Amino acid sequence: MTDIDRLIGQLYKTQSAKLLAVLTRIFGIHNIDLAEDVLQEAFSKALIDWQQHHVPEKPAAWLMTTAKNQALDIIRTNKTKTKFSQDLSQYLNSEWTLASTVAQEFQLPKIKDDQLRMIFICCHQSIKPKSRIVFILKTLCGFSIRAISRALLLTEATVKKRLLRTREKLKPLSFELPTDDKLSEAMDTVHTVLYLLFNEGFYSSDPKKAINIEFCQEAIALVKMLIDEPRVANQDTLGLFALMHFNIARINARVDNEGYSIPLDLQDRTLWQQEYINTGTRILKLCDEVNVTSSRFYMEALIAQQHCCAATFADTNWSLIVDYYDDYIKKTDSPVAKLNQAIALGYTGELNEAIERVESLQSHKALVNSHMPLAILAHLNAKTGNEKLAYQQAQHSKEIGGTEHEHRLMMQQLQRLLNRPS
Amino acid sequence: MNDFMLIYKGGDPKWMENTSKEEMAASMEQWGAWMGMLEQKEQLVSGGSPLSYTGNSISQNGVVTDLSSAELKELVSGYSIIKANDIDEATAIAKECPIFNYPNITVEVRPVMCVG
Repeated sequence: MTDIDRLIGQLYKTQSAKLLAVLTRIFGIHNIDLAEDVLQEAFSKALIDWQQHHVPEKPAAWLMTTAKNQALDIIRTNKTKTKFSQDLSQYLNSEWTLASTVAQEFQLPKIKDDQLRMIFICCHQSIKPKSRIVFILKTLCGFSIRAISRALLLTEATVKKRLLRTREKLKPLSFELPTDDKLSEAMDTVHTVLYLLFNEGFYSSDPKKAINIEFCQEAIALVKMLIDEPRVANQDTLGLFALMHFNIARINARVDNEGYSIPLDLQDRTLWQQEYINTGTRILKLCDEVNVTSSRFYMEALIAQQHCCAATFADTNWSLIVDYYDDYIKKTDSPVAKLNQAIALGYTGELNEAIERVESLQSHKALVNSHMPLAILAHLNAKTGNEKLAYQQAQHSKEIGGTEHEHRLMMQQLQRLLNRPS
Repeated sequence: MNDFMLIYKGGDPKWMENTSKEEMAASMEQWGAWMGMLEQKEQLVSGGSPLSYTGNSISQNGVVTDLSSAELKELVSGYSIIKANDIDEATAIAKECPIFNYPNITVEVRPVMCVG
C-alpha cells in the first residue's frame, strides 16, 4: 500500500460522511445514488491526480472542491431531466445563483446540519436493524465496504445488497430535521440506535479487535455531534454520552485473554480507564442543567457511574444503586431492570426481600422462559449460605439456557460465595 | 397575477475578469436573497440566467451576423421571470433587482402575453 492509498483511506474515513451528507442535501434524498456516485468519483479523481502530480497541501479541501465542482457539472448537465432538492431547485436552476448556492452548502455549518439530517434519516424506523447498522457504518462513520464486511463477518456482496436496499427505502423520505412535535420521539429512536451501534462493538465476539473499539468510538462521536446541537440534544443525549464513557472505560477489563467475559466483581479495576470515567462524570453534571425529557439513558448512566466510582466491588454504593433503579423502573417498567435491582438489593444485605422479588418476577411474561431469574436466585441463595437450594436452582437454570461459559462462571461464583458467606 | 419578464440589457462584458472572487460571491448572494424573497411570496417563476455577450443574430432571410458588432447597450445580458399583480408592482420589484449592481444596465419590464 502506498502512502497515497493510505492517505486516501484515512480521508475516506474522515471526509466521506460529510461529503455524502452535503451532496445528498443538494441533490435530494431521492438522488442519494447520484450523491454516492459523485463521492466515489471525487475519491478516484484524487487517487489518479495525486499519483500523477503530487498530493495537494490541503487534501481534504481538495476533495471538497472536487466534489463541489462535480456537483455543479451534474446539475448543469442534468437539470432538464433530474429534479434536485426541492427547496433549492430555483437557486440551482438559475446561473445567477447556482454556484453560490452550491458553495454555501459546502460551508462547514451547513455540512454539520446535513450530517444531523443524515443521522435522523439513518435511524428511520422503516429501515431493518441489520441493514441499518451496515448503512450507518458506511454513511455516518465512513467505513469502506471491505471494512464493514470484515467487522460484521458478512460478504462484501451482502454489505452492498443491504446498502442498496436501504438507499431504496430512504428515497421517498424527507431529508429534514424532525419538527418540534416529533423531535423527542425521533431522538429516542436515535439514542437507541446509537446505543446499539456502541454495543455492537462492546459486546462483539472479539472485543480486543481494534475495529470493535472503533465502533464504540464512532457511536460516541455521533452522540457528540448531537450534543453539539442544542436544538436537538436533550438530557438523555447527555445521559447516553455519559453511559458510553462509563462503559468504554471498562472495555479492557471486560474479557479474559480467550475473549470470555469477566464478571464485575472479578474485573481488574486498574484496567478501567479513569479518563473516560472522569469525562462521564463531568457530562452527568451537565445533565442537571438540561431540560428533562425522557431520561432512560441518564438513569442508566447514574447506575454505571456508581460502579465506576467504587474502588472495589465491596465498596459499591448498593443502596444508592437500588434507588436509581427505582427511578429507572418507574420510567421503563423493565423486568430485566427489576431483576438487576433485586441483585443490588441483595448486596445491600436485604437478601430475603431480594429473593422474594426475583421469585415474583419468575412468572413475568418476558422472563417465564428465561434462565436468568433462576441463575440470580441461585446466586442470592448462595449468599445466604443455602447451598442445596442454590445448586438446585443453578442446575435448573443451566437446563433452561445460557452458554457453556456462562454456566461455568455461575458455578465458580456459587463456589466462591459459599466458601465465604456474607 | 401576471408573468413578467425582466430583460437586462447592457453591462460590462469584462465584468467576470475584472471582478474579484469575493465580489462575485457577494453579488451572487444578493441574487439569492432577491430570488428568495420572491420565492417566499410565490412570485418567482424562474431566476433566469446571465447571457454571454457573444452569439449570432439571424435575419428573416437567413443571414447570420455576429452579435459582437451590435451596440453593447442594446445587447440582452440576462433575464428573470417573475409574477406580479400589474406592471407597477413588477417595475417596483425590478428596481430592487441586484442587476443594478452591474455598470451601465437598463432593465425592460415586459408582461408575458397570454395567448388565446
